[in-house]
Amino acid sequence: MTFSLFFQSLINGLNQGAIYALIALGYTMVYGIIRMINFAHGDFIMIGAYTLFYTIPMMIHAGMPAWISVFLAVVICAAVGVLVEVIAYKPVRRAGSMSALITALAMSLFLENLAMVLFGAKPHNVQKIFDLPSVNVLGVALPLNVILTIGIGVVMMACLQIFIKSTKIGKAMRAVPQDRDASILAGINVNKVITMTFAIGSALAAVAALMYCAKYPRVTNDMGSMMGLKAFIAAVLGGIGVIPGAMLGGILVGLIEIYVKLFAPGWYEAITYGILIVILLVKPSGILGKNVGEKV
Amino acid sequence: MKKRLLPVTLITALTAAFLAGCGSSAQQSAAGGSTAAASSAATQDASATQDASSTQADASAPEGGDGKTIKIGAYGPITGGSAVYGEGAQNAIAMAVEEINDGDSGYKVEIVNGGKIVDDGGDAKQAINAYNSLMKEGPSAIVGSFFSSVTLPVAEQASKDNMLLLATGATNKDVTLKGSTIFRNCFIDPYQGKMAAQFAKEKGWTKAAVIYAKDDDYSNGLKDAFIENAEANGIEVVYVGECTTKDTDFSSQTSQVVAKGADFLFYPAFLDTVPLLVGAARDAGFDGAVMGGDGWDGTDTAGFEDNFENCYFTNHYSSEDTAPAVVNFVSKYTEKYGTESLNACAALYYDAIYMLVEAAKNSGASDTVSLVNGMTGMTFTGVGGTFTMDENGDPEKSVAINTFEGGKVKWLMTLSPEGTKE
Repeated sequence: MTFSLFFQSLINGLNQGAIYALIALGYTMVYGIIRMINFAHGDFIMIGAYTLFYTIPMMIHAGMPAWISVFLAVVICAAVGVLVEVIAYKPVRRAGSMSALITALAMSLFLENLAMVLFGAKPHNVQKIFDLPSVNVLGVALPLNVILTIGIGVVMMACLQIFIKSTKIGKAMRAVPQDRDASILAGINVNKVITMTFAIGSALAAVAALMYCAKYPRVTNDMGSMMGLKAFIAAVLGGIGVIPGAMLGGILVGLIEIYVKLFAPGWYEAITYGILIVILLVKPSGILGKNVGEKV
Repeated sequence: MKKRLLPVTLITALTAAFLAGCGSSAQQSAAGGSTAAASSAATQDASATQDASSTQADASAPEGGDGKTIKIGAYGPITGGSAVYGEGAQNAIAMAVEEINDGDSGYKVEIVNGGKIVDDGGDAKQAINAYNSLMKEGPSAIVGSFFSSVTLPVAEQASKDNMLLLATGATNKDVTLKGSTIFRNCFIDPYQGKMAAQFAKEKGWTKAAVIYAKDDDYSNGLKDAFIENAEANGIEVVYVGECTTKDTDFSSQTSQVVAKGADFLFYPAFLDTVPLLVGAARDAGFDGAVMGGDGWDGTDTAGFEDNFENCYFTNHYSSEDTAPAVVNFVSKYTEKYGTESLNACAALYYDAIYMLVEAAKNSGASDTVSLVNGMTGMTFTGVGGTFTMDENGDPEKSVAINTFEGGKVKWLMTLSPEGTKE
């Protein structure tokens, strides 16, 4: 492998990995707080991508810069996330984890099929938000929008980390899974915190949609299912429930996929899923996961 | 330990269940020809379309035919991601029937099912249902479909029933090998691969890379034929990369294409991933030619106009071709139905109806046996050019090579096995 090929694949892998990481964050935040795997999370990206698809031409038509669409996508995704939580997940929260999981699967299928009815099944090309040229670094053509999206991903992850570590609501988010009853005693509105978690997770999905569309400018109603699944693998790989774990897992899955594809393109999915199984066998809690006993 | 294992097992089980669920739901929706599965159905079953099966109401037919009416059944993709093909086919059949019945050929055409194409949704299972429903109406011939994966099982069944099946866009070479009553009016996969290699040779490209979808028969067929003929034409194949019809990321494969120094990239696949592949190739710094087969017809180039410079694909015909039959078809079709659904599929169904009339003329009767006899070895001139049916029931015909200009498809040349017709 020549250096330029290695370097280009590194950038491609980081780009792919940053997308997975942002999606994985949504899975891990929700799992961390209510021990529920929100399978509909992948479909929030689809909603974000459709929002971009419809609003970018509107913005350009109205003479406004195209990046305003990103904020619209964030708002719409957050609203959908909150709506899904309040309408579908909250009522079954006390019914046990199995009911919650089935509800999440149903929600995922519902959103995909709703999107099909509303937007049709034909794939659409999303207009470019950033029209940036490629630069030549060390003999490798690097599209600047790829660099920019990696940058956005890193900034989002850093902001999230600061938010969780140092704001009051962030602290509440960490407190609730540790001891829900004690959190209530300490004056934390648990329902509000959970809703907030969904809002943030879904907003990150909108950013992931932006990054996805910058690299693969195509939306379909089922785009979220495979991507969501891979991001879920990333979350488990890094240690589900652990925020830095989701980032590490996402980047790792992205890099593994791209490098495996370089030499054995037919094998990359088998290898990606194989890694999930191996990690679960060797370290059931994931790379950064802690072996905390379940509270009774 | 037990308590810790439980969630792990649960997650694994659920992931498996989720995966399984995805798979089956995709299948079901594809089977139902619902629009949901359209994109996946389009990718997987890209060669299924409607067959206008022409049944001839011959003298012995219960309908009291006079031997001069050809009773045809047609099936094709009316719903699903390839619905635009079905729409074109429906319009083209209506046009052909009107022309023939108003003409003086001595034969009339009747399309069963009230003149409508029966929907196959671009799916093999649904196509068999479509075929069975057509057979109930006792046609003399069946026309369709546009996709190989949809046509293959129908061809199998039609061969058992001794029914004349005239496939339209089904390019997989096995289609006509199913029986002596199976014909088609399009070229076959290996042929497109061969013509792509010939085109590359004429252009003077010497180092070719191939990326193909290994889960798709069409893609495999074109890839094999291209590699075989590239070597025969002195073109070195420097890289062969796999992908699947569901992939969206091609950055690794295209990086390899650049690293291996290819000046020509062959991507035989269906339209929905073509913009992503071309975009990824350009992002990776590949400025050579990218080429595909008839699966590229109808590719959405919006937002990719610049990337599609120096891209080519082989097709059954081009609406810009200057041959009289093409000009006549294009102008009439445009006048009646606009250009939205004016695609290769429409042209092939149009030709199919005329071919059956020609076959009836050759044999002097309109029952299935006479049509098969008339069809075997016949020479036909239509929108798809002038061609002769070979011993397998495949036409030997030229291909149209299209390119893109500002994102719009533009006819470049018509390439025949003997040489170029500009």
